[in-house]
Amino acid sequence: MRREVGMVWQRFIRQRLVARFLIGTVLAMLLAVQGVAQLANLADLTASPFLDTPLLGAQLGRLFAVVFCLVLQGCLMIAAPLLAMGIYTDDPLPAHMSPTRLLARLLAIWGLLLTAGMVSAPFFSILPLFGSLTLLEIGWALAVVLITALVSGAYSICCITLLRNLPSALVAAYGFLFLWEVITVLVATARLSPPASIIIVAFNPFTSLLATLAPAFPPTGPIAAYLDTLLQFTHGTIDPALPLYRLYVAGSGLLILLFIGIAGVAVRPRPRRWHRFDTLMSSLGVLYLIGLWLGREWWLIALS
Amino acid sequence: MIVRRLRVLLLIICFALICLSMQGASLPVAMAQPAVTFELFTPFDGQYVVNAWLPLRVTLRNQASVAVTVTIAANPADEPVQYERTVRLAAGAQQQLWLYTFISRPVRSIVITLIADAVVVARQEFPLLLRPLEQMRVALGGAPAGGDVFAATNLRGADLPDHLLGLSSLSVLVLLDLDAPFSSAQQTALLAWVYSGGHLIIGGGPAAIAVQTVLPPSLRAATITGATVLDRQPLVARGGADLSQPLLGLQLQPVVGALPAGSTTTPPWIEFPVGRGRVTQLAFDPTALAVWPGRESFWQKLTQPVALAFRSDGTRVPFASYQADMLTPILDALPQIAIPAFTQSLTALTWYALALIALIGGFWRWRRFVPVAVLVSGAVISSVVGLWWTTTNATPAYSVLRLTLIEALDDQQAQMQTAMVLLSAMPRTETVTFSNPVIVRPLTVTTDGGREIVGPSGAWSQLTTQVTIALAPWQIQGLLATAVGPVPPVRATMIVDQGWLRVDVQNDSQVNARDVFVVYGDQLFSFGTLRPGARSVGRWPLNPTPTLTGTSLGQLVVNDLRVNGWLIDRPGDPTARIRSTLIDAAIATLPQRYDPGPYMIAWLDPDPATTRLATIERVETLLVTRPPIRGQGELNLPMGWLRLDLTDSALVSCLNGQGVQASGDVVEMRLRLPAALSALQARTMQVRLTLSEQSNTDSLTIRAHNWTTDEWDLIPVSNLSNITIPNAEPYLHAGTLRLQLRGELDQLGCVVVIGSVQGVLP
Repeated sequence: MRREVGMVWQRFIRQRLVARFLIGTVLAMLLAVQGVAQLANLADLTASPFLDTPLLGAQLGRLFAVVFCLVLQGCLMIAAPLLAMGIYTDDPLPAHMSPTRLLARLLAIWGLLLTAGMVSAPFFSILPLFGSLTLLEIGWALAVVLITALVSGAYSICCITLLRNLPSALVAAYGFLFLWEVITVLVATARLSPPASIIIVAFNPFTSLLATLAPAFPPTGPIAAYLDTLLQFTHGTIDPALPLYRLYVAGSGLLILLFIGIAGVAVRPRPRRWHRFDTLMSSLGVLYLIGLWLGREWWLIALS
Repeated sequence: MIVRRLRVLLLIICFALICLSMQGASLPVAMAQPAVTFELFTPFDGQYVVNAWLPLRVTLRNQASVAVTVTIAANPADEPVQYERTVRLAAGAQQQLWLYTFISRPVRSIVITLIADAVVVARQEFPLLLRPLEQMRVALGGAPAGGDVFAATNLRGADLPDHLLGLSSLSVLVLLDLDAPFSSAQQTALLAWVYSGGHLIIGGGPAAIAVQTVLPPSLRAATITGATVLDRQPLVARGGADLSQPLLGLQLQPVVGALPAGSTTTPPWIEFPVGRGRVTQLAFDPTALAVWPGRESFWQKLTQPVALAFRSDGTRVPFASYQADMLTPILDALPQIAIPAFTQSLTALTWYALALIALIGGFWRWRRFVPVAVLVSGAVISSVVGLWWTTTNATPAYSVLRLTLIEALDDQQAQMQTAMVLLSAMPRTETVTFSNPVIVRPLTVTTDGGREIVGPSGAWSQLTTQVTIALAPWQIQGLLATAVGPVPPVRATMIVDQGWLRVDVQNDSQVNARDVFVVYGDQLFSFGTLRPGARSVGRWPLNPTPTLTGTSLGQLVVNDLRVNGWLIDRPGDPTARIRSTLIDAAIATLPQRYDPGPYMIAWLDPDPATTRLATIERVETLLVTRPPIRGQGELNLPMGWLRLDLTDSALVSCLNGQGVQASGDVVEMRLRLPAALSALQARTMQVRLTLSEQSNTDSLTIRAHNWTTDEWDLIPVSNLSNITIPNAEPYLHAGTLRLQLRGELDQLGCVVVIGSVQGVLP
């Protein structure tokens, strides 16, 4: 397995796509920094009506945090299907593939997404300067970003494995992502009755990301207006103080197992018999469900 | 075959089922029988006042064989705030303690919870009864009157709370007899309560001497010199019924500043102003009036509250709450935390991004791969360096406004009230350290700017020096801490010296006393800043300019600081506003109280009451003392020391609060000296009348009341701004000059009268 992963990884990092992805991620983060910095220097931010706004710097720090997390999460989400396609470019999709190879490719994608997160980490080091975030808050925000990367990788591999045609899989993956975003925004703004609406909205990665930071959004001030507008799209009528990210984190693990399981079954030749891989995935699934049940108080609070 | 392939899965499913069944079987542990019990006593029969503290005396008993940590908590029903005290109770021990609960709105009951070693062992709900503040009169040692005059009677000495706040719901306390002496904490509480506006009435019966001995010296209004037949006229005037039989009682010799009622030689009682409150020492035994028909009316009138304040909604509140209300406009003046200089960070991040792009691009062109390990290593190093730099240069995460008012109760003790407002950008927990044990309550107000200050909910430990506050993000949170502790030794004394008043200010504390003023009425005497150990002496200025504009004392002080360049106004800097408001709250005048001072005010830097927090704080600490006037002999009191007493309900005060709105043909007014100079024997007096309207004053005549003949004597007037009263001794009695203005007074408008006195202080 390790050898397989090593081989896939070595082939993978030689792709132009990987270099472009990493450069693109860093550039996006740099643009985000410059954009927020420009905003901070705007005249209206330091104009007289806001002179008495307490902790203006902390408001700015929270804006930095939100923008960084959103940009990084967006980059990883958008890049994941492309990277999944890229991993199959040098080693086209065979008619039948062992689950080990499938997992090796998935691990390579996850590894690259994680690398992108790592190279973006220095941008986050600016946040303590503003004194506006606790370690717990930023820790949960980054955890949501990481989980989104894992889900995106598994989802992309699953799409490609199921459809087998790379262009179609890419279109389907992006199409469904876009559709899901639109659906969650519509549900958030449509005042549907909970808990169904909360569950749907919680599985919008951007909503869950903001749910980690929104409880401490400033209520007034120039930056509060920007953040409030953002919340209108992600949360709509749902209380921003709800810890939706817990639901997202809990459900994402299940989703990842599901995507891997589906992909693992789909790559095998027909007739598909019970395999050690199925046992492994079922076992993990059962253990995960037990974990979810035991820790239900932690994530069910989002539905309260 | 299938079973063999699925064996691992089956094993896991079995494991899962076992886990679930175990979880389902784990029932809550049953509570053990409580070995700790409590007994509750409410000294005022469960009667309470809104915006005051309800005292609860709790007796804890530990019947277990081991020591237990016991927490007794009280929270008004349906309120999210809980007040608690925690003690360690030895095996078989019993302990009595007081618990104070702030009642911010009408409630039907209070819930008491007993927690032993983190286990709730008992919970009880006690009904409460709302009573207006002005009717909260209680008596210790018997009921001098029946009916509904007193809310509670027959209290014992041990039933008196041991903290000022426990007495905050009382307006009048009658002390007739004591079964046991007060503890030192009770004595201090009593002194602080009277100073804060309480009315203490001490009986003159057989227990009078015993009662006097257990009172703090500052509350002794008179010395008992013997027995005599008392003047009955003041009783008859209040009781509205004839008192035919002679009234035997104590011969009282008033202390300096105390005023006898009726006859100066055989007064039936003596009134002694202490701070904002009053001590009334009776010379007679209240039981002597048992069959007197005027008894109810007499006690109703005698037991009037001294310093009750009105809120804008018309409700009466204790003076401390009124003071807190006065601070409301400045409670949102949190210090600004500037946007941190992050340009260096941006530059560093730009260089990092460019280096990374160059590295990836270069490697890819050179070797056709991305050096992931190098990238990750570089990112980790950059992150660590970045984190170190930003953490080192991080801006404070929260902003704090701390206003402390220290009022000296006597030479030794002071009452300290700290209003603290905090704003944090993130959820955090802060611990504030106080110099003295404090009782804290949440402060919930809406400022004039419309900002809401919310009192943090949760549990508040009492009489602790460490107060932990859970800060919710972006919510301005406030608390009010009250403590009684040693007074900072910054002392002012007024001394009669070579015919003039000399003011001596000495800073023996370890902190700076900034912008020290000694004030009387609207007159200011500045002493600048006194460093630790410094002393400053000066003669009271001769030519003060009385203000007619109604400018508050706080504004006068701030204006003086501005004129002398000690306070520079900067845009957006609320220092002047904070200082003037704090002074006005400290020396708040009430319509029914004549109390122009003198006071000494000084800003203490650093604040001796609390420890600084590791953030940006705006701290203002105001010390207010009442300088004693010492000495005897010749005394020339400058213009302004005789001041109009506007507490007379027959007078209509001007809008500026400084004078009388004259109308009709006759107006009578009183000019008074401070209580400490009430013994002054005047030789000559000068009076200055200032009129708001320029009108013909030819028909105006001025008469002074001759206390010896009880007649009104005409005073010749040539110049209204300088009326001299020669041979003034019969006109000044107990520091009071009565003047009568006759004429067409409607033309005069607002009449402001001040005076000076030359005489002898015995």
